[in-house]
Amino acid sequence: MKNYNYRLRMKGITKATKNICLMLLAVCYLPAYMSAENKSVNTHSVSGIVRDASTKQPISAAQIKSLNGDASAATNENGYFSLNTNSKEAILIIEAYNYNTREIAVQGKDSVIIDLYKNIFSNYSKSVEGIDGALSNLVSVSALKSIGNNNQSSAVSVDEYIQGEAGADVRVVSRSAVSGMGASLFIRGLNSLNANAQPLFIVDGVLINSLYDVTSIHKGFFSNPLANIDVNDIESISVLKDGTSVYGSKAANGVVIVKTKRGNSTVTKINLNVITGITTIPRSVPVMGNNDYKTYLTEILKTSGLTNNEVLQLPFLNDNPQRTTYRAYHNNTNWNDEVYQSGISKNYSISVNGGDEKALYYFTLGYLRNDGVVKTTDMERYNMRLNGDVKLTNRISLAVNVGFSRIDRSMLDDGVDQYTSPTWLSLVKAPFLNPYNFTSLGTQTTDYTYADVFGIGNPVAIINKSINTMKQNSFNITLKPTIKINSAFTLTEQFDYSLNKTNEDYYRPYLYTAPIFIEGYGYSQNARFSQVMRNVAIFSDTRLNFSKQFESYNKLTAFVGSRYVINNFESDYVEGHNSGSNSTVNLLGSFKNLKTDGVNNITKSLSNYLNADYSYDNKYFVNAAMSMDASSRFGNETKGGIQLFGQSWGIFPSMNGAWLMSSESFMRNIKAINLFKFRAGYGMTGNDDIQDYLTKVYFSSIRFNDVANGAILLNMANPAIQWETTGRANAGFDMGLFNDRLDISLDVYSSVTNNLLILKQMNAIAGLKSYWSNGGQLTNKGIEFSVNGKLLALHNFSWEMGLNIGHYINNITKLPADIYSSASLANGAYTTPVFDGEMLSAVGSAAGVFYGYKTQGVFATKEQAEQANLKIQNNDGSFSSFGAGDVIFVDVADKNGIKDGIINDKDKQIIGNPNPDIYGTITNKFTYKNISLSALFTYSYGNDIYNYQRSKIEAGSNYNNQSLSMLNRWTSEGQNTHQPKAVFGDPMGNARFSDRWIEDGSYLRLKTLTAAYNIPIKSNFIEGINIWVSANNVFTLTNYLGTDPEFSISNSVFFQGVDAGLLPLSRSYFVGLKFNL
Amino acid sequence: MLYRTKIKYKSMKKALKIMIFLVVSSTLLVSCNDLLGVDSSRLVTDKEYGHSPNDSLYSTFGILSRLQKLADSYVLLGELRGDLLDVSESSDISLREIYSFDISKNNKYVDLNNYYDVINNCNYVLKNLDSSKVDAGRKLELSQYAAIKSIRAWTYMQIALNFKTATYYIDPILTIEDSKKIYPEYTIEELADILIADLSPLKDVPMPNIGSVGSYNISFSYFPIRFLLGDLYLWKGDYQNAATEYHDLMFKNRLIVNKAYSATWQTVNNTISTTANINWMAVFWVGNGEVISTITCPTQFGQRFDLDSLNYQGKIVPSKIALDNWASQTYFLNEASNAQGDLRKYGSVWQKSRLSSTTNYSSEFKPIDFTTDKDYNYILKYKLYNQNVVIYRTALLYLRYAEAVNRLNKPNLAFAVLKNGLNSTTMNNHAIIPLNEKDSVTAALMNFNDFRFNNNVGIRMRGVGNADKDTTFYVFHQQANLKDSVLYVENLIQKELALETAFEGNRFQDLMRIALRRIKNGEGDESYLADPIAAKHVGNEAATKQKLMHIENWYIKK
Repeated sequence: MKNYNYRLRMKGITKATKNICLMLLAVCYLPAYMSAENKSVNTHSVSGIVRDASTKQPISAAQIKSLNGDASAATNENGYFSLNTNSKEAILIIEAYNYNTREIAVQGKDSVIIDLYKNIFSNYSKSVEGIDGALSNLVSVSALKSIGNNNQSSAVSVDEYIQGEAGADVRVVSRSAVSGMGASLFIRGLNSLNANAQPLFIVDGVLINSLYDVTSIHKGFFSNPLANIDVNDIESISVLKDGTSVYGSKAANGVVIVKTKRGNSTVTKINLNVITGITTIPRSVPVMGNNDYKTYLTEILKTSGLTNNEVLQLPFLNDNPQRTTYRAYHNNTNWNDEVYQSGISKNYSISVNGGDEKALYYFTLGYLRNDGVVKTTDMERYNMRLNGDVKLTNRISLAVNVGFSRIDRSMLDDGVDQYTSPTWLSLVKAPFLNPYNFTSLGTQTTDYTYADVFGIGNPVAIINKSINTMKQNSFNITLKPTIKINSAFTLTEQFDYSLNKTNEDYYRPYLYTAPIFIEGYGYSQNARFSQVMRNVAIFSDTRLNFSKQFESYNKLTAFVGSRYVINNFESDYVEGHNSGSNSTVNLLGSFKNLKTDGVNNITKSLSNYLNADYSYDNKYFVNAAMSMDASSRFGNETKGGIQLFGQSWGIFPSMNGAWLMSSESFMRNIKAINLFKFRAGYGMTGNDDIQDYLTKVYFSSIRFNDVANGAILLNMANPAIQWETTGRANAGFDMGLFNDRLDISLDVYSSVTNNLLILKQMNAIAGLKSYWSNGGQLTNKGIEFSVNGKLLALHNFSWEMGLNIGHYINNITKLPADIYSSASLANGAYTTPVFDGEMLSAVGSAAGVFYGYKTQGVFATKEQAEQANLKIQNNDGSFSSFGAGDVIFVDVADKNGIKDGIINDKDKQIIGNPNPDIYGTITNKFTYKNISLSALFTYSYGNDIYNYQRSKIEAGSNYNNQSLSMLNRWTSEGQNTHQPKAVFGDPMGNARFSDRWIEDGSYLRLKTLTAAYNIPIKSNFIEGINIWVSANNVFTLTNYLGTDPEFSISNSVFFQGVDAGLLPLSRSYFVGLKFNL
Repeated sequence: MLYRTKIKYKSMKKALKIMIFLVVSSTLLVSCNDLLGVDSSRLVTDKEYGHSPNDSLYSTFGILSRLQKLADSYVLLGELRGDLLDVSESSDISLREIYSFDISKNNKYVDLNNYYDVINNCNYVLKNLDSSKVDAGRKLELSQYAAIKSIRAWTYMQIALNFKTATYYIDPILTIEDSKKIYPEYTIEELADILIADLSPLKDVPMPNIGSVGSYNISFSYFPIRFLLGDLYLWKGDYQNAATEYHDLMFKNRLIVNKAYSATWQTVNNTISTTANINWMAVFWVGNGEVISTITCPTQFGQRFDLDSLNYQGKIVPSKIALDNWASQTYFLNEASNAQGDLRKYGSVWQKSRLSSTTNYSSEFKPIDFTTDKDYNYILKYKLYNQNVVIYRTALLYLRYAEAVNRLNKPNLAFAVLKNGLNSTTMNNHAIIPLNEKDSVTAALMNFNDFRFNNNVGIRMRGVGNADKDTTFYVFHQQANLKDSVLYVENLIQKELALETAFEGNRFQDLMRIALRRIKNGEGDESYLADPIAAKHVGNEAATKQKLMHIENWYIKK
């Protein structure tokens, strides 16, 4: 056995941590002292009337109880009630059928008038899902956004659903319009550079492995594990923005808690849900027609070294119909029509919910099929879920969840890809070509044409001949026994096993696609890829809960527990090229240049946590939490945390408090404010999404001379590698004005993330180039504001409107000097290449800003160009001068104020910032009797976009068809234009990454417009029918030139704001029908 | 009332105790390391790897795959900086940087990491190989041990020669902390002492025989320890030991300059015809007996090897000097029949008309046209390599031997290597090897009487005909004194290296070694290296010479 280092090293703990630890201990003892104070108990008598907020008519049979549970009453037919509470500042909860629950403070008054709003409105006073199960929103301490199920969503995955509901609390960016692709989510800025910046998802208590950095073999695609959950099964979603230290090293990016539906009553209920819809063909960039394209082509061919005469002899420019090639080159094909179709969606689900005193269950079956807007693409999902709660004895109960889903997809490569993306090829393919061959007599056949003379494949053939499939199976089972030890203590153990398996197959056809040149190898004429990924997760969470009310006005709930998570991610990848035909697509003998790859990574993490909530008289709330996390990814010589038992442990404490000021007696005279809660807190969290095995020396297998296996040293042990640490301070308030007519919520936060995961330069003598290390710091400061008004609350008509605004400023404040990057600049700054562009990481700027050249239009004349005398240095060391028709790049002066006249790396500057100034949603809901109309607007303002797609379709450097704006290209001396001349190969780099491609990405979009009608049927058989219609992406107001200002090519922070031409969101229409039986 | 509070307080205390117990016990759980221990079936850690004979095989292949990354650098650094290889219009910035002795950090062919990648992998294996394990009287892993040491030594030499000094360490660097330690740095001369001590005990250990991988015999991937020792002694200036090691290698491995691999004009009626047989090309074929060591560089499975494509695309071309060298030789059949030119040229370079298009999909239309219509010479040697870059071969061994014995004041012996060939006939011909060059001390290293050397011919005899019979064009003009004769022959050896081993990667090292030797001995200055290289930089001779008159510019800045 080894000698473990039992020495507890405290040097790593900051002073703040120590103080919080002390406070934490104090909180544990606090109730005892409070009790000892022996506050005298006086009963307080309250009476009042409950009435309808719009009609002021009394509501009978409304239930009133105090939040402490020490008193309850019901209204009589006049809406009158009276009860005695222990506190004169008690909170009363009022519930009535068809009305929103309301919680109001007595504020020492003897009588109260309570107006209830119909349940068509949104409601602040509701039960929300926190870290410790459900609690009243009124008494929640942390910044938390709760989302219920609106039952009228066409969303395929949870993240998609969140976008419509989370307002500005989460910045949600749809990845693409491919069904179930989901969205990138950012809570409170960007909290990492190189590690995961996506929030932690917890589904029914189980931490989900987001597989955020797992890449698909299909271009432009992301395998989204959240697509396995049917949105219909979701009971509630809570977005926790702070107070998440219980999740310690996994919570730096915020936590999203998803709860699925469970059996809640012994009455059997059956829900049938039918949704169908169509998605229209998306907008695409307009490209040149035959005539304009031929003119362009002639021009570009002349610059590629062919003589005039040679150009004219080319078959597509030679208009002699006698030539055998005439038919093949004289068509007018609308390639868009060949590639796109209207998408059709179907979604059915049925759920049964019921049970008896012993057991409750919820069972659901679902089926979804979406045919995509690109021909042959589709997604099919089967899902099943069983959630049961069994009461074994009076003290012991057991919850069982079983979920299964299968997703089958056919897809196609997406985005800008010159070889295999049909959507891209449909833009750039010559309109005079035809997808089908002609016989020598000029009759069209059904044979697809091969890749054309310009090296562009046939998108129709690719759609039909390529293979792009993905099959995902996901299964999980949870067992959660709960033992009630006595009235105060409960012990639970949650165990979960989940399996997520993905099979991907890919085949790029021979001849129909152009050969791809792979450096160091040669031309790949066809290729076959295959990938199998498997993630097995085992999760165990043991928790002891304590809950006790002392003297009816102070209450302590606490839990302590230990969470253990094992993830085993395994992947196998094979690749083969040049089989020489399309007849066999299996990776057998005829494929060459085989390549295999794969990983088998096990990650284990352990967390011991403690959480205590103390409330005093329902006015003062304190939450303290702490977790102590270890992970197989952490070294045992980390700078942060403590070393114990041969392990490094991160310590993540937090302290949050809230004051429900509106309960105070002194607030009784401020009539306008009926609710005011002030919240503040500070918490530390971490990010453990660093690579596996960095702490170990390891070797990897390589191939030597095709056949032999060898081993090489691949990683050096870094025992100092650790989590990223985020400390975040938060302050905010929730306010209800004018009898809850207006709800306002405001949060400000400031966070500092330290120990950023950074790739550093290895000392050259070690033989490896780089290693992952911790260093650097970034900050996020921001505001989240929301206002929600019940603008009209008439008898039959109501109008509610909400506005959510989010704002953050991200700033890199420190970077280590020895960063490894092929493009490192001074002071640790470096750039990350992204789609021919560069993203700068530098102290003093936000993460992921665009770094390139500024431009000042185009030289109109030779004279003008000669006067400017700008040059570039060629690869061979010689210089070339910019001439008429070339872009005028800004030559940046050096520190001595001298401009060298050479356009090179030194002239790069920050040319855009993809982070928005503000973002959020605007909601409107109109209700007339049983009919409601909801409109959701999403917006983003002040964010820049790098329009990569445009940079490729306006480059004017090859035979690709070009966008219409290329009609304005410079063609003759003296022409004033912003579009440079077309030159083959773009020798002057006019199309390089510059502000030409940076655009304002601000937009306002009517994301969804939904009309719903509750059919007033009441029978023994049917309890209710709800029908709704909705339109998505109805319109978008934007100056953005691309097809859609909303996209996300990857979860990495460096890839935000890069439009790689993924399938844009388009208008879609849905009809939904819900039967409650 | 007071009593009630106490009870509450007690129950609180109890609750707290339970909580504390739970925190502590759950923490204690992890004192068992298994809870956070992770294994992977794909990656092997240092604890699991490197301790069995099979592992040493895997690591040998691993090391050889790392060595592949040095092949391009070896050739390009050795030749583009020399006088024989030139850049062209289509050469990129990395090649131009090497050519102009102005190598930046981002140069894709110069990466110190790649050298140390080999070294550190070697260090790891050497540390773990048990060279003392004995089975049936045979030391089990000793040959493996020696082979890996030879690779490490060669790599260290390359570092010191290219970067002036090599940071030397023999324990593997396995942690980030170790990588930041300071290790000693040695110049080639300092390094020579260390490596000689390291290698000498192993010089009689046979190279491991692990057979072939595919069609490639692995035994060519090692560097013979005697060759390395010879080179190290030569750099040190210990010529006797150098010559001895070279000689012993020739003897033990039966390495000769074989007459069968000659480039000859066919003769008709005892005169030169117009047809030549370039059998000399066969010396580059692995397995023909003349190739000693290669770095094999297949391009499958993602391995990079640029030399072929640089050559094919005309990004590196033979210099005019190289072509003139061959052109200025005289092919000697007999006094009556001779011709201008060394036929080894036709095994070294080939004239090619123009690049053929690789993107020509259709006969009707060529989308991307040819880059050049000019005829140019491409380097045939690289094609002959067939992706096995030759590092050591027999002719180089004999030329190095000649360099060493010449400095032992045996210029006639050295000259005989070029002109006559070392065999019993030559050695016993006092007209060729005068008695004063034979002494008892050096007798062993001059022993070529064995029949195995019978077919040994002069290096030149395989390119310029009957050089041994030539009394007109290529003769040793004895100089005024012995020292001048030595310098005279050394110049001839240097010339012969250019004719025989052009483009193979050793040119710059050879010029540098002779130049440094002459500076040290007070026999010359930096111009010995600067002049021929400056002559290649047509139009920029003066600036190039000025740059190369500073020794620090001969090395790459780290």
